[in-house]
Amino acid sequence: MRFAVAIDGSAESDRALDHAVAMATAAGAALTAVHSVDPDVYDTGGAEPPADRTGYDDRLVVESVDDAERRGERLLDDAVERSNERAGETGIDVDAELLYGDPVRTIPDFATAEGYDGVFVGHRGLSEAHERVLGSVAKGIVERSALPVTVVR
Amino acid sequence: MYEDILVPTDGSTGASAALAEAIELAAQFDATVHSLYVVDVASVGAEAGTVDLIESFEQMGEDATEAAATRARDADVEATGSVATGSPHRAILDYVDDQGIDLVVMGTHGRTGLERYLLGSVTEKVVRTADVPVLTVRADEEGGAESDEAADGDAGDEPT
Repeated sequence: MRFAVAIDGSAESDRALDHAVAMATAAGAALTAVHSVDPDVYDTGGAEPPADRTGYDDRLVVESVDDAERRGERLLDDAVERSNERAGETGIDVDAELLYGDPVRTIPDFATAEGYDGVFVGHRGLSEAHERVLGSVAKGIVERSALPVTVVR
Repeated sequence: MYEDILVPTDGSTGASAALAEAIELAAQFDATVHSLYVVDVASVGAEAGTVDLIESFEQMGEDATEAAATRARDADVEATGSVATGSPHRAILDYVDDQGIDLVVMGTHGRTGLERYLLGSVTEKVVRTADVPVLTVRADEEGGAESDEAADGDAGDEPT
């Protein structure tokens, strides 16, 4: 058996990882930590929305793919290290996979194509109204995935 | 790992796929499967004949949860069945709290359009609000969504 766990560096993703490690250890399964490189767009702030196009150019900063890639690699290294620590003496067969694109698409597609048995993903407790606006990676993965998905709060 | 696994049922194929997964996990971890059917009182309304209608839903629930428990026991897994009334996702969350459930297993439906939105709404609410992990299982639709997916992918390794 092989499980995949979605990693994004949040506290929720840490909890999903811990749960996946416990599950994989108990089931004697292998685990793959997966992160999808999807550069962030930051708003550097200000009370009013920018007045014109130049305003947007000044305020919005798009993370470079290189930065996002380095961040992803670091997150995966941390996840593998954390998995090995938590599995303790029992040990666990854990590896990492860096994907590129929207995690809602890339993670289920990867896990399905590679024949995984299940996916674990963290979920932050957003309100319904919040979620309607922001969407939820966990929900997107549940909806897209033909594999069993365990959502961990 | 898991000791008490809750599988809400509505008698649908999605619930049946979820039950199969729950039984498999329960067998692996020596856990108890809890089958729960919720009579959604709001959907019944408050008109003449309502009491009879609720009673018939309750009977349906008894049958569905008993069938689920029997399926689990046939696989040598401990099982209980119960029927609750109220709003489905609230009743499910209350049951999780009351019975110390540590995993909820629920079905999801097709991946496209309105059907997904309408039919998956209870699952969606439970995923968003439950404090315990929620395992979602795709129901095998006619034609089999999973085999479609497998054919799409570039084969890869065989699942082990």
